[in-house]
Amino acid sequence: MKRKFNVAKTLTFVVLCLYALSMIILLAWMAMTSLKPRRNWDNDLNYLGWPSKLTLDNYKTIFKQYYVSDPFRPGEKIGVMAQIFNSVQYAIVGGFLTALSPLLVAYVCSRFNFKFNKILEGTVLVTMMLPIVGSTTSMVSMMYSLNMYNTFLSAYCMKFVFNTLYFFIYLGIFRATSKEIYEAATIDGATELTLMIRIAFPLMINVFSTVWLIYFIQYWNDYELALVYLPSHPTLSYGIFILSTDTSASKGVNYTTMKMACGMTLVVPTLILFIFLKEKLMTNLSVGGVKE
Amino acid sequence: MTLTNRTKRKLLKILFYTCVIALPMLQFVIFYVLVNFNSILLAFKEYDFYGNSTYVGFDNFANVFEKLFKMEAFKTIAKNSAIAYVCGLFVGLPLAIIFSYYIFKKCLLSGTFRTILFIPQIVSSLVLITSYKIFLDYGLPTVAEKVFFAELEPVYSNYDARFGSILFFTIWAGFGTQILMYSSAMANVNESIIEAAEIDGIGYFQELWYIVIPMCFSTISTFIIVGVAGFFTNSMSLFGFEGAHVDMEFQTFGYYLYQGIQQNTSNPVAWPELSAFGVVFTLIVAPVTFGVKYLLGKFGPSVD
Repeated sequence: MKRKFNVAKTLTFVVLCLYALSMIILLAWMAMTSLKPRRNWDNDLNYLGWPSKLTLDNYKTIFKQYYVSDPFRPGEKIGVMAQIFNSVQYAIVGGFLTALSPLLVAYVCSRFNFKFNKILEGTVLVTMMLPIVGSTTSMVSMMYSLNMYNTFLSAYCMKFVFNTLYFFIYLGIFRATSKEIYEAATIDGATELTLMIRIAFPLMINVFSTVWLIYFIQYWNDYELALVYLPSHPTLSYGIFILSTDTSASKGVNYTTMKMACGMTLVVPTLILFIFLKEKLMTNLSVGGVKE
Repeated sequence: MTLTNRTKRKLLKILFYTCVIALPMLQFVIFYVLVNFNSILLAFKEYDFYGNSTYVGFDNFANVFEKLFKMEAFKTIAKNSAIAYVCGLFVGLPLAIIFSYYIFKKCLLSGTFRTILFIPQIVSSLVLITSYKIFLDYGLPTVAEKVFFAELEPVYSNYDARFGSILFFTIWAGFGTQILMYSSAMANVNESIIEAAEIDGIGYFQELWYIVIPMCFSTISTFIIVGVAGFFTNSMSLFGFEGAHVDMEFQTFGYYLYQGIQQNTSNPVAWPELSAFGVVFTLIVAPVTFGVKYLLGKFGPSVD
């Protein structure tokens, strides 16, 4: 049968092709620029062409020479390796806590039939709906009051939040889980803690790891939190922010090719994760979770 | 008095329940309830340079309203925020729905497009911004010269084109989550309805308009409702573009508030007025959000 030509579909296809091309070209161009000798860009004005020589010099220079100054401890310099360490720490622990908090609350809400559950569910719904603008000022003031400002603990406390969308996703899956599993284990003498750790959480490991991964990537790329709450513990993303917006930052590295190299250092780990875990990241989270 | 086994079990359950939710609840009370309560208190205070505070009644609110209604710069900020919001609602949202629909219909290369549209969620926005800015200034003029033999000024450095360039970026890089959510919602649309409509000869966009959008409108309306606050919170990634020194001509409310606190983390003198801005904006946007929710529920497309 001859296929009918559809203008709307074709137009969407063309727009999507342009979008895809622009995204691929930008990323490829960034990678290529990061591998160009600095003089090839600055002196030869080779902005688009293939590098005169493929080199990792920009990466070496960034790792050796680029640092961020600590605004609270004059003279203290934090290099790229320390920034990467901060990023890894923040993304792993922060992501884990943000994924864990709604899991804990959702589990007890599904396991026990208490009246307080309604308050918890209502709280999540209302706080997700209610827009609150400009509470950052108050958060900073609170961190100073609690003597936690500029510590990783402050970031982790902020991220241990249970009123997120994932609360409902976890709750839906827990509620769909057969109650007979818990009953059987209880007859065998399992305590509530055993039920939660040995039965409920393993059923949820797939969904939990996806949520953790999503937050890991989000926090790995996050520079705003470090900028406001962790100025003495700059993450790599924070370092790139300083490099790209502050022209006085670290003399000797403030060149386009080096900015691109620094950017690629941040992008490559997440792109690798994405390549290997694409299906996991892009799967509809409301589906699955319980192994048949 | 001895407790029966049943009462003991119940008490143990309550104890377990309390222990599990204790830390998340403590976090919520301190970092949501108290922080927002403190935000209101801060709005009524004034700090001196030594960090001592006094209550000043509605003085900060008076300053906020004076700035909002009398300062020319705030008219520009309001205009920019409105432009960003309208573009997101009338350009970004329809495009996201159209792209999601294309993916849902499994048309040519839909899987590839789905992956590529998700990339801005994976790649740091800051890195994308940095390369986008440099590409507009160096790459694009070179393309114009080499391919079209035309002279093009650096686009981003051109003051007149800068706001447009930033606006384009926010839409271009903002599809990821929406596409994922919309295409997931569309996947739940009953196939038999679509098959029946196709037999009746329904067109590509007619199917989207009359069947798919009404059937996943709850997901779309959630994005619209949550997006209302964006009028006051959307910073258009300006911090990533220009840091703390964005020209007033390009600022939005979201940027103004974030830049205000970022520049004054150690200076409590500036906190009360910023908090007052936050309280005023919340008082405006909260009823509007619930109003939009009500209106969308009442007048939005019906599944029937």
